Amino acid sequence: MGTPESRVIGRLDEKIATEEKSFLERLPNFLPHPVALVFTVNLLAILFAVLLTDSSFEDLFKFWGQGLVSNFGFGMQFVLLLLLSYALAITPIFKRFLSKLADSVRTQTQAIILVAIFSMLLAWFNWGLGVIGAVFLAKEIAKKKAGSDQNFNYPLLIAAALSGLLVWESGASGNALMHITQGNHIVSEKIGILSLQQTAFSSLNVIVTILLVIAIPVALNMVKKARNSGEYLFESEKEEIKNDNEEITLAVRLEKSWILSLAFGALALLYVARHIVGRSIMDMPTYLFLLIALGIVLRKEPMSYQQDVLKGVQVSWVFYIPIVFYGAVQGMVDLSGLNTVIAGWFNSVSNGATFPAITVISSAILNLFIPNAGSQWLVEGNSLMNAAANLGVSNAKTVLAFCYGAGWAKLLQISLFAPLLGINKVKITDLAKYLGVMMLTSMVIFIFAVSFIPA
Amino acid sequence: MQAVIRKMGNTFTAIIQRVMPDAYIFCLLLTIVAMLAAMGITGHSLFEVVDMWGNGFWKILTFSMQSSLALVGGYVLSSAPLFKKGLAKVAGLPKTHGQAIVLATVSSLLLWYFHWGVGAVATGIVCVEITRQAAKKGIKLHYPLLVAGSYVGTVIWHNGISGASQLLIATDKHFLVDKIGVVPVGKTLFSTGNLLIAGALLVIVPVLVYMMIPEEEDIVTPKDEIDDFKTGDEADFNSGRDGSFAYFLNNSPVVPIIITLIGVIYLYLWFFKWDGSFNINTFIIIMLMASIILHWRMSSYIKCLKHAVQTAIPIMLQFQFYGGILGILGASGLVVVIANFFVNISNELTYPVFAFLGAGLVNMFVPSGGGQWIVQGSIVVEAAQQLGVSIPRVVTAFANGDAWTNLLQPFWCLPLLAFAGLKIRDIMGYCAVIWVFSFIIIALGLMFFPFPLL
Repeated sequence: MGTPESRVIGRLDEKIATEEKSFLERLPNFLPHPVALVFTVNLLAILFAVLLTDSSFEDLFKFWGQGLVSNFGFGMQFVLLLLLSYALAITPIFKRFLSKLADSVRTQTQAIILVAIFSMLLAWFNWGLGVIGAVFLAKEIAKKKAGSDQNFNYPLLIAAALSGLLVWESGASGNALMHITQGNHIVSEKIGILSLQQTAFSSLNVIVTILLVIAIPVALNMVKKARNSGEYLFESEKEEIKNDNEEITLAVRLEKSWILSLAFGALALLYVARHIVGRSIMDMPTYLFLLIALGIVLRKEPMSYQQDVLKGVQVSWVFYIPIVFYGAVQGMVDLSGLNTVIAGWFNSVSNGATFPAITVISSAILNLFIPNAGSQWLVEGNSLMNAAANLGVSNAKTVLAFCYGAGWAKLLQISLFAPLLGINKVKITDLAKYLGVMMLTSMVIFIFAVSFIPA
Repeated sequence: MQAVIRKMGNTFTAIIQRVMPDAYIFCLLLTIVAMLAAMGITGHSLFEVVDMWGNGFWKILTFSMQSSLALVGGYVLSSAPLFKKGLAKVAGLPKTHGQAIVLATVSSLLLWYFHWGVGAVATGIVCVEITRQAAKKGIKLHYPLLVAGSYVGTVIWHNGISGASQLLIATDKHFLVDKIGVVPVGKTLFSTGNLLIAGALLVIVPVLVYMMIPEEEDIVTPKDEIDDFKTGDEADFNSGRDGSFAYFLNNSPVVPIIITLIGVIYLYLWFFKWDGSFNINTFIIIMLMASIILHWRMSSYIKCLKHAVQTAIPIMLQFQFYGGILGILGASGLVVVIANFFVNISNELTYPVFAFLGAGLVNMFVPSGGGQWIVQGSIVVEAAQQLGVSIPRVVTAFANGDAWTNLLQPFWCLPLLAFAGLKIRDIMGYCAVIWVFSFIIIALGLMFFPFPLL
């Protein structure tokens, strides 16, 4: 018995389906898989620490071990942020809503605008709702339009859905922004707690988000191809086989009890409400708790929550081992004094005016080596904040600049992220042109904003 | 005798099959019980209880990362070709159904005696390999009992050399040092009484498991032959164009050798230069390094990783709920209430048994051993001093209680279940039989075996 598959059909754009592979698709020839990469970076960190600091050989391994062990808790938070957001994004009620929303679309222009704005606005609150949701929305639109006369450019829709990746790291579910909302974070001695009000909801970030929401759909519409022809694309969406023959025992009844779902969701929401209203703080533990609360309360059967969290393996498995071993790199960089050396590099190539822009670019480059922005922050956070303090740039602006770069680099690494987000059949080369337009537009906005808007 | 035990195994399993929900639902139910108890017994308001729950929820993040890492490391390790070859020799020893079940049980007891982390993960590896080897030889196995046998070793762990509470009170500045001083492991883990209890469990538990082997017609064989571990889809992993730099790193043994070298140097320094002890972190490092080097190429390692991470996700989710329960029990004072209750109904002879029961009851809600000692330890030793019971005896009592109810608790079984692909309700009936008999062994041992006075 095979798995029933519902097919999502779109059409391949003739013009861009050239034989030549784009840079984005060739990137995996230069960058090894993140799991192979993390161990290489571990070695590099040891070499750098040997060459550039006066730590002894024995000390280096002490730092390595300390970093590894002391970041387990933070690492678990980053993994849970991926898992729980994914589970929330595939909540059945949310998918039904998206399916309805897909019905309202008439033209391709409408579709691009809807998908892109949906992706970016929701990704501001949670990356899963935004990006995973928008990819699902794009698939639904393509599926519904497949039989009609109108031909929708499927790769273009997917590209629009990916625009949320640009907003992910600087939104409320951004790894680094979330990490620094809690008391014991990695740079807490230097910068204290930075709340979301100071970062994600700051005027700088609000302006950046508004600019993106306007500019990205406009840019995509300018390069869109109206007429499409060519081969069909298939995206498979696996549907579960329901097991109806199960004997209804007390055990099974408990696993399906909606009262249990409701009770737990309500209790958890009560805690979150008391926390937000009482202390007016949304820190990382509370945010994760909110994700669990919503995930449970929006499902009828309690057991289906764990099953959906299990599906989150799709987005998290690649990062699980790297997250752990970048913890070791953090120990090496910060304890050996390598962080001051790196801060010195920043200071030597920039001044107060150019530092934010350089932070965006350097953060994007480093993200190629550390694709999880949470891990990247653990490794880079101390050096960056040192440099910012020396140059008198505000903490919030530096962190946001870091986030813009890290988010932007996700589009660059689309060959890594596409399968994680459930995009298996669209060729990267077909996406590349549209992603290129998005990257160019957003980079201009980022550089302009961090250089000229105060935060 | 065998007929009685077999009947018990069958009956308990039949009942538990019907009433025991999935481990995830079980921890939700435990949370509700803890909340109701905090409101009913210690008189807290709903708001207070919800705060205790939420504040405690993320308290064991580090521990859940450690446990999931140990599982992922162990899972990937057990799919490494070199490792499988070695293990297959041992797992291939049994020639009959009974021998296979006894081998699983004895190795479980020994692994748990050695270290709880090893016990929780390595038992799964052994269990799967025994199943595979038996299938090769055409030996028909009662699979649920084999998996149960692989789990019951947990009852011995706190008598073993990784016993958390005994190791803790042997350290220089432990939190009870004002009351009992430093108690060396010679007086606890290696005391005659403790060794006798461990020895009795090691002999009697495998015999009991052996006796539970059902009649031919009741045998439940593994669902389908457990063949090789699932690997990820091709689409999940782009290892680069042949000849490119990335392809080289993904497919040559260079990266595995580098990282293993780093790990080996670290472990050498840890054990021989810094006099570190074997703990969960060193275990994780050993597992991760061994799993990487035995796969020889990153691409081979990465292909096993997706499924390995998936098996660890229930741990990442459920352990947080246990953190919440721990928060309720600790902050509401329920632990103190339970401990005091057992003090009030006991005398010098029976206190070790009641301390054992008290620890067992609390362990149902707070299954991680070291954390429980921190909340319960001071009451236990104070009561022992009032009643004139020896400290090593009462510490052993606590330790045994902490391990004993693991038999009724899915927490420690999650990694094994992930390996075996069973639900907790499939095996807990058999564990319950061991639970009953091990109570008798341990209670008698605590009252009558010799312990140092202190």
